[in-house]
Amino acid sequence: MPLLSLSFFSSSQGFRQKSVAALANPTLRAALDKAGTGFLNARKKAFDEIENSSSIKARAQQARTRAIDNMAELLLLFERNAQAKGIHVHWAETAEQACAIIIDLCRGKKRIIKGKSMVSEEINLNEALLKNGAEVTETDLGEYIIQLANETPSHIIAPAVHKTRAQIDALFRYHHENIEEAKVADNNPKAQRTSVLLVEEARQKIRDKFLRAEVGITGANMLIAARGAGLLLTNEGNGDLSAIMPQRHIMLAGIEKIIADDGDAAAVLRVLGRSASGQSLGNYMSLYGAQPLQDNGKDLHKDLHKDLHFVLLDNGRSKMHSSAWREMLRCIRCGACLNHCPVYTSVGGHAYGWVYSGPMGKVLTPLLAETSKQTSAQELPHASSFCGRCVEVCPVGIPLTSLMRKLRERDFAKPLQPRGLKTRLACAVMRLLFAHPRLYRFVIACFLRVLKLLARGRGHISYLPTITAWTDTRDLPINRSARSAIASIRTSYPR
Amino acid sequence: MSSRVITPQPRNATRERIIANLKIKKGAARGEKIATILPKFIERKGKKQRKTPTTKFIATKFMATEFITRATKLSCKFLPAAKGTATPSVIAKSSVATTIATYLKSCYEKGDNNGTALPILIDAEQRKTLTELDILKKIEPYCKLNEAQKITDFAATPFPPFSIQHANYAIAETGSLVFLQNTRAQAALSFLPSKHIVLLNEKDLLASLEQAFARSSTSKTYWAILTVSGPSRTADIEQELHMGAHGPKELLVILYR
Repeated sequence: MPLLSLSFFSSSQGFRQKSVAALANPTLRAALDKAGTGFLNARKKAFDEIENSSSIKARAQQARTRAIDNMAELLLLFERNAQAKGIHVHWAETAEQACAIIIDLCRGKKRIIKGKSMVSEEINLNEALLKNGAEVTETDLGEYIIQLANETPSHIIAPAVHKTRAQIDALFRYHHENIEEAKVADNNPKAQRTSVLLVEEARQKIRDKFLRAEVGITGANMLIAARGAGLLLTNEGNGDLSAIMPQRHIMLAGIEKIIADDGDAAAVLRVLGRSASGQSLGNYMSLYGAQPLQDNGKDLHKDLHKDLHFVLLDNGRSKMHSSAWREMLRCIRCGACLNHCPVYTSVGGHAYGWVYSGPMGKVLTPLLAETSKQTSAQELPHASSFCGRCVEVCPVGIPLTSLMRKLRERDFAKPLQPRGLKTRLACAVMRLLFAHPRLYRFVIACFLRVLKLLARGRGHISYLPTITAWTDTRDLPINRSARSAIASIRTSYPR
Repeated sequence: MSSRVITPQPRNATRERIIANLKIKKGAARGEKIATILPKFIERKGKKQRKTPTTKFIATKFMATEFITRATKLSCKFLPAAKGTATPSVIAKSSVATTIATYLKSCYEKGDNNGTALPILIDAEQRKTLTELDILKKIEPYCKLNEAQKITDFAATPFPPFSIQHANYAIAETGSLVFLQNTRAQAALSFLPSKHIVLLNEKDLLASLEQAFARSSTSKTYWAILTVSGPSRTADIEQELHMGAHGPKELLVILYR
């Protein structure tokens, strides 16, 4: 009981308000329900199919750990190898710096296309580019949809998972004017279009942008230090079209994306696709900047790339590296923890208030430089039931719950959480009880006797004054006799 | 051209700061102990297990079968189309041309291009290989061949209907085809057309991702390595899977020996 009441003191106002609104939104509920178990089943099937999934996960974790342990050396190696091929490497410490670098690279170029990149959402790149008068088009279908809707992604893998088909249909009708109605909707233009038609419409709209673009910006799933090359994984092929079609290609990545060599990259690739969407690999996996641009002065690449630029973003990551949350840098952004989180699947990604949502967002958002100052970010680690499903499914073994717990501890140490009289009193009582096992047993036994008394004759309690939020929706069962409950306490907390 | 000259970047203050941060080992917050001990533990454990586990051990004999099973799962289609539930098989080198010709003929007769010759994109650098396989001559009656390298403005024909490309090699573990690409035109071949026909020699099948990475290091003249596993797909609208998001809608593979 005391534990239960403590959770009521941890307030997460921003998240709480947003999630209440999200729970009351029937359209969002419908969209999330549809998404529901699809991801889970696909992931399970993909891992069940292979015989040695545990050793494959261990190997991936080992690869990521090696990369994080030797991050400084590997990043410098990456830079050296990339520069030797005539690739440019830029370093950015903050979001503003990264935006400034990219704006500089896009100077004088108007038409920009983007492959899906969560880091670009993190630094709010689109807004910065639009302010500079560029025309930016997202090319991942999900990102394209939310760009039209002027929203932020609600899932790191499926950014438009919160949208229903009807909403997308309406959005496309509003934004695409010159698509022939006859072509997109057979006979009846008012009827809701099937998703095949919607995909086809987006394909036609975006294809034109690909072929006329001047700059392509993509993320990178991995930066292979031994090669000095960027690895990109997409399903739609939009990343590759963004990379290849324009003359200039900018790859934007967080510094934690570094990986030692090909073998480690392969190890991570084996779990990445499987965890994300149950695929053995993404549909398109490409390495850019794999080989030198020039060989003995001879130009080998006549027209593929005039130039490739890597922009490496820190934004608080290097500080994380020497902190207690270093393990979070292992994250490969597969999204498995989101799909398995009971909180995420009920409230959706927007309640988290930023690009990274779900369990990984709860750890990452309060730690990254841009958001660490916001109080709403500090509230996120408190919005967890600690069920631990995220830890179970994480392919690189990040102990998300204990990282969240450490964040809670930090918040409590710095008085970031409101520490009113009620909180302090509760904590003082808890400390007293936990420090004295005999007292603890006695108090618990008293509680149980009282509960038993209250439940006399019915076997359950349907109203308790202090925890109405709980008893309003369900009954508290008091089936076991108080005596046996007390006995079980005795055995689990021996003197 | 000036941008092409390799100049080492000036000593960059930002980089120095980031690297300095990454080199901090001690004096961190509470919990640091666990965070540093655990990786070391894993590293030690990792040293013992030298061999990287792959998803499945594939003997050379079963490479083709495994590739076909995997690729079929990824919605690749094999030519010639297998009848009923029979699995597609490896065909003889001599019958490659006939197979493609038969397929294109059926497309032509269906009226895929309104009864006119089907425009087909090919890679100029692969013209020799395709001629050796006698493909170009056999498909001539139904097709109009275009060399991708000769196209200056891709925007003029945003959706070329067909392309024929020879894969550099393939990975049996994931059912992926690998193309080593050097030019924009070569990349266009694998992304722009609606139907992408890929030729693959059985001897170019590799067992694992690692082998594919290693093999790519031996070849020198390419810029991008592209690994294709099935036609372009999206599930962004209500988690419904659709083929042909941005790239090809159909991926047709001809595996020969």
